[in-house]
Amino acid sequence: MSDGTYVLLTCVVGILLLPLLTAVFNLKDKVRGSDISSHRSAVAATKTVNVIVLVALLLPAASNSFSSVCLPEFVYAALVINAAAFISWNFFAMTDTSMHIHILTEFYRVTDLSKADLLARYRKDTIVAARVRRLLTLDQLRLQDGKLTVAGRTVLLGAEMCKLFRFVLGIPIRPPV
Amino acid sequence: MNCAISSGLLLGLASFVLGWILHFLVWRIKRPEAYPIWLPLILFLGFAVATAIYLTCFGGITFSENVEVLASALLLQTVLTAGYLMGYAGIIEYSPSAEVLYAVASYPGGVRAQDLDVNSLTDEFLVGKRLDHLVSAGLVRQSKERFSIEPIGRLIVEFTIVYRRMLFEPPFGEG
Repeated sequence: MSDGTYVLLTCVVGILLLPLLTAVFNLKDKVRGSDISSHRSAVAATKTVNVIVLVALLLPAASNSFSSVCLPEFVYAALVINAAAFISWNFFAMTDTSMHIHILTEFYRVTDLSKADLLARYRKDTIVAARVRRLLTLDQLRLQDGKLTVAGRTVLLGAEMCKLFRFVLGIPIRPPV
Repeated sequence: MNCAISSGLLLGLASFVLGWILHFLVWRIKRPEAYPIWLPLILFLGFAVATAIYLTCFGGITFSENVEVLASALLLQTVLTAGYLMGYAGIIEYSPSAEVLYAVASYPGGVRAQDLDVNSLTDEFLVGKRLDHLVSAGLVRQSKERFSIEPIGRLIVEFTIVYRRMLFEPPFGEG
């Protein structure tokens, strides 16, 4: 097998491992009786796969079966694995946080609804409450003395990047309410 | 040094950047409504152009080397395009989680959950707009004032249930 094929196959195996390890970490939480959060497990799976791929790229070099290991291979593998991890996490996030999917599930559970019925089941207050719970789980918010404060910067950093892209692409930066 | 992966890395990055510049130019002229179709099409057009330039000017000596370069560039282009497409949904949809964080940050001493007012969000903006999307995408049917799910919408929900069960998550997300 050529060096290039080995790097490509390592990346493909890493991509396949991402959702599998997310499920394994969730199962571990379930067995322990802890709260399951695929958002948290996806981060743990990403870190683990990065280590596995790094070791897989270093091992052949150590045993001299690889011509050499260079920076471009690591940069390539890091880009592919972390972009795939973002896709894998987003795919789960779509089933968990997407309001389109949630509205579909409301119609899935009953025969039909009017818009008022739908808003009685799913509206701004329920969405904000669900987001606050999730942000607390992800350590982006902190509850201290009954008050919420911002604790983490990851989601805000993502939001700032979205703002930058909106500015560049000519899309309104803030919600047009 | 592995030339195939190095060339694949450069070709993949160059093609993604080229595709992104095309996307920027098109969006500045007119932003298409059906972005899930147009965005990957434009980004992969960048890949096609970059590949044609590579094969014409810098094509490898052997066929197998060219295959490795193109396969590695295609894999990189695919994950970057899919990642950007998913991130793009966050760019145009305004994440309520980010709005919650901005609202909490606007209270320097913190805020009780019941007093939190996220005034950048409304029922119509969050739910009404998305219900319209689902109706126009043919996933929900409107009959006078009543709405019900179409078979394709049912299939999507059932797929998400199976996927979430595989991850040991409850069948429905909170939204």
